[in-house]
Amino acid sequence: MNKKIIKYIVIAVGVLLGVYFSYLQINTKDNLARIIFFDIGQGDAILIITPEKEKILIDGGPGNVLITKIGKYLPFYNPYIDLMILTHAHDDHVSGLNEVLRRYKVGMILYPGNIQYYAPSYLNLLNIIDENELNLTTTKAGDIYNFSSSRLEILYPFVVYSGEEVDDVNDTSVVARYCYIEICVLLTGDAPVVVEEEIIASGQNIKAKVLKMAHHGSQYSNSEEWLLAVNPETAIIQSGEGNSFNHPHLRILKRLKRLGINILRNDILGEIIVKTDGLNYWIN
Amino acid sequence: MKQKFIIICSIGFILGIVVASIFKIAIIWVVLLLVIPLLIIFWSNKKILFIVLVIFSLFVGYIRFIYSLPVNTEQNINYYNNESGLEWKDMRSILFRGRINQEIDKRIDHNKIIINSEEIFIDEEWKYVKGLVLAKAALYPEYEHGDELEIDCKLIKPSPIEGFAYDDYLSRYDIYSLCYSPRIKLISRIDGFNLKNYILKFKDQVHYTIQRNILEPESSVLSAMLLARRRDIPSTIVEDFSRTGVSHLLAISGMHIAIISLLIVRLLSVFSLPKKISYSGTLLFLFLYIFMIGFPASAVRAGIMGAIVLIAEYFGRINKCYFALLLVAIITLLINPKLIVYDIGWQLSFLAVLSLIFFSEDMEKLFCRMPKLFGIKAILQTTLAAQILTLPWLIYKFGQISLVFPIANILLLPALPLIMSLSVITIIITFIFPILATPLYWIIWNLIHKQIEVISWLSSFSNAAMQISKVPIIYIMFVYIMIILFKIKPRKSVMN
Repeated sequence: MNKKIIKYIVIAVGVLLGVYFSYLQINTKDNLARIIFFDIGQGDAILIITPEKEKILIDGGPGNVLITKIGKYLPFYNPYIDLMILTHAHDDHVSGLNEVLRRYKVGMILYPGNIQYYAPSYLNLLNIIDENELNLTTTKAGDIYNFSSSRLEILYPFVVYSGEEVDDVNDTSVVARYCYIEICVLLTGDAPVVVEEEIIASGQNIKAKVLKMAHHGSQYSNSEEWLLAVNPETAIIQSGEGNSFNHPHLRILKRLKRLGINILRNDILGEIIVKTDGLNYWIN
Repeated sequence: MKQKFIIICSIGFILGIVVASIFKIAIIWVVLLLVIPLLIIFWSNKKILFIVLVIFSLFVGYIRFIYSLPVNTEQNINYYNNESGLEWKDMRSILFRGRINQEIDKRIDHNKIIINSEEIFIDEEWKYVKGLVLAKAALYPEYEHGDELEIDCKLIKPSPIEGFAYDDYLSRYDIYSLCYSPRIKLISRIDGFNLKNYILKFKDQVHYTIQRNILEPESSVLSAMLLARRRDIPSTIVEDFSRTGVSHLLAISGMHIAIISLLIVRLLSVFSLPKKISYSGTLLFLFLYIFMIGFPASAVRAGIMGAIVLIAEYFGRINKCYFALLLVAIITLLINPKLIVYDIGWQLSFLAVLSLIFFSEDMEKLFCRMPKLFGIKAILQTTLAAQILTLPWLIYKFGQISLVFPIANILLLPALPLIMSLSVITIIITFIFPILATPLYWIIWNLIHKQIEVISWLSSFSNAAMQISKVPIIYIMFVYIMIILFKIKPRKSVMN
């Protein structure tokens, strides 16, 4: 009898401790925003976690790698993504979003509008959105999405696409700036130099401490004028190890060095996490 | 006498297959023609008849294997393979039609589709062709089992990849043609009722339920444990599992199922249920489970082996059921003789169950003084018993010995039957009343999460696993003979 009681007490204490530690795990509030640049090979995938744990996912990278990496950052009891942005229709930005949409709930999906582009992964994504009647919205420069204590501003494109044919899909890239108090991160998709010039000419505030280099550090993006206008301290390059496009381009790396900008590359460092309390930022 | 005779003939049959896989020549027909007259002549002499019958069964095994080798005629798709050694651009493409006749293996950056070819476009006309083709297709668009496809691609013969005998591995599935970056056109989809299609769709639904409710990587680990779908487990985790000697958790094998069924029975006995109920409950659970994962051949085999161990234990004669095991082995080998030579899953299942049969009692004697410790003793006993015959083979095949495997198994195995049964129950609840299932998924997630943490912690020790160079088969054979001798010897002494 006595033994039985001890047994039950041990079990009960174990369960309570388990619950307590799980609770601690869930409730870690530190007033930091985190921007995670996933190491998913040749492609883009960025997850922003606001201080209030709202989640913004920008692009999904190639294949299905993202789904295996994002799990770590979502709470096991509620894997919900508040906002998903598809910057443009290329496979190395779209593919991984398919699996995320198939599995987890997503509050709103932003994209630059429909274009005539017949890549299977893009069509499949639109199909999933259509079948599940998800909230897909077009976005353009000037749109601002407010979160509890931070915000996301859309800087490009200037028009909303609605089924037209485009010469270069990269020209449709959504360019967005995420700001938490004073620290801003500029996310550029694959925007080429033409787009950079248009954004500068539009006179929007594009200053940012951290810049995600456009098009995996391609030489057809990231012009000197652009870098000077953004004036970042840190540049992050999302490119895959040994990719066939020679990204990032040597000339761009030299340009960054010359301008004294700190270079962080996913293909060298793996996953990169930028943490900020709104006044300072750190890199993990 | 009769029993012994059947056992020896079965071993002869198995040996015949192994010999055939080494020599792969068909002159044996001639020898067989000599054996049959001998059989007739010596029908009355028992001793010689015995020897002749053993030789006869050896040849049956030999011929069964030779018969399973690929044929290379115009009617076989592998006839159209490009010659090996050609540059990619020099290879010729071929247009063929066929149906997807197996589960699609969805990988992280591509899908593996097995197509049963039906027609090939040669000389401006469609001609009959047969045989399987493994196509490496893009992730999207998605196809499903039963789809009829028209495929344009360059066929090549499988070849070993970095020391892994990929060609042998595929040959056990009867695949002799590979097709990279195919252009695929969907011709038709199954309409109407098709049992296999229906079961696979159900399995997909189960898989999807797991994926939606449990995060990665825990979700893919559970899918591997439960559904035998090892699709997107990160390679670091797979490596950790193998370094700590618990890879068997990520597959459905006879070993896995036998251990799990024994553990579930012992778990149920903790609740002091009657023996009858706990054993039949476990059997029912086994059946439900194999139904849920869509009756893949490997799981059916594993399930039968598990059931054998379970039934034998119920009657308290775990050491007497090798006869049933041998029967399962012979039947599966008659269906596919390549299993014993090329399928490590089959080999390990067979060895593990054999091991459980032979050494369970010895282990019980060895551990008779140890207290029960909430079933930890039973787990230790069962895992160690299963390791005796599988370990030498694992070392031979992988050249890696895990030094922490007893610890890893003791730490992980107790939770396994809990995870498996809880998951099956939770999935059933999800289909009926989803809200109730949610907290159960949290528990499952936490259990698997802790398992992964423990494994990566154990694997982080620099000497968790010992890498050794290839051990010659002679040594392994010697070890097995020693084990067998050890096993036989005590019995004789009892007799004396």
